[in-house]
Amino acid sequence: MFDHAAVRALLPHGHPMVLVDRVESLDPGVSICAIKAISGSEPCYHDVAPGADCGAFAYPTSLLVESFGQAAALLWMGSSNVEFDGLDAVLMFAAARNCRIESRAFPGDVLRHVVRIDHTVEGTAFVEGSTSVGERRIASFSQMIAVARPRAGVAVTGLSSV
Amino acid sequence: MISGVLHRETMIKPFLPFAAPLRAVDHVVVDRRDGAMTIHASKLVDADDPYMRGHFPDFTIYPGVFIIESVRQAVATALGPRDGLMPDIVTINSVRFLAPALEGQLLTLEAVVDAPVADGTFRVAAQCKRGDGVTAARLDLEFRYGGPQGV
Repeated sequence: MFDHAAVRALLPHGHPMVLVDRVESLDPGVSICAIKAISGSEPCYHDVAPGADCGAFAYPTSLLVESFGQAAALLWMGSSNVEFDGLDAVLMFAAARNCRIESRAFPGDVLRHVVRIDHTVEGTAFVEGSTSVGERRIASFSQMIAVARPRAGVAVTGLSSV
Repeated sequence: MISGVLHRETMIKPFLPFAAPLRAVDHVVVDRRDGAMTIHASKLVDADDPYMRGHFPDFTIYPGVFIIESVRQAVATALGPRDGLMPDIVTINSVRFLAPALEGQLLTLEAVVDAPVADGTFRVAAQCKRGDGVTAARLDLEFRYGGPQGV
């Protein structure tokens, strides 16, 4: 549905921290399906020891979670009931609960995130979803919470607790 | 009684035994007493680290997921491999990101490592503080050697 150029334009993240490649489908306010291809040429593989076996190339869980979170951000930003124009907001990952990492992803795999909005409350989005590689589920996210904060406020006051 | 300082040999090696977005711990100390293990680690937020120039292009915030990565690397450094398998995250029970970690701030991590349960998973409860004393994050994670499915 929207390509990498559109993803880059919408997310505040810059290369190489843009961890969504393409949005496959978007139902505004409801759900998104977004993909990220894993390549062995990514920065996270830079320091893997020569001669390391396959297991060393498991895609880091931290980046998997970030990729899922960016898919959630794109869902939120692409939903008509949330205004971002003029807000100059930074979307912050505020919290997550009961997320299970069930399997590994490797270079050559395509992560497919399905994210659903549970509900939104004034500047805060509650989402859930899962990540798969083909038929194999990699992770399930029972709850992830993101907040939008005006950029100017972030450096000074930080986040309120959620 | 601090039982050992381990980090330098691991952290200054040019290579890691696993893929990682960046070096997410600078210094790791393991404290074992009364059968409990607490890992103390630190990380200086550095805009020149990999990925950081994208988060964000015009101002630097240490991503919340990189605090998760810091806990993972602190645990991996402290425990090392078992049967050739490194410990890795299998469950995020809860994570809460309470305050942003900005360029130049020194993050300190205190992670309490529980004994493993029957299936080999062990819980790690961690708190990350900024140099100004503000709590940046609280994390409740579960690890297993070899990570998900042991592979």
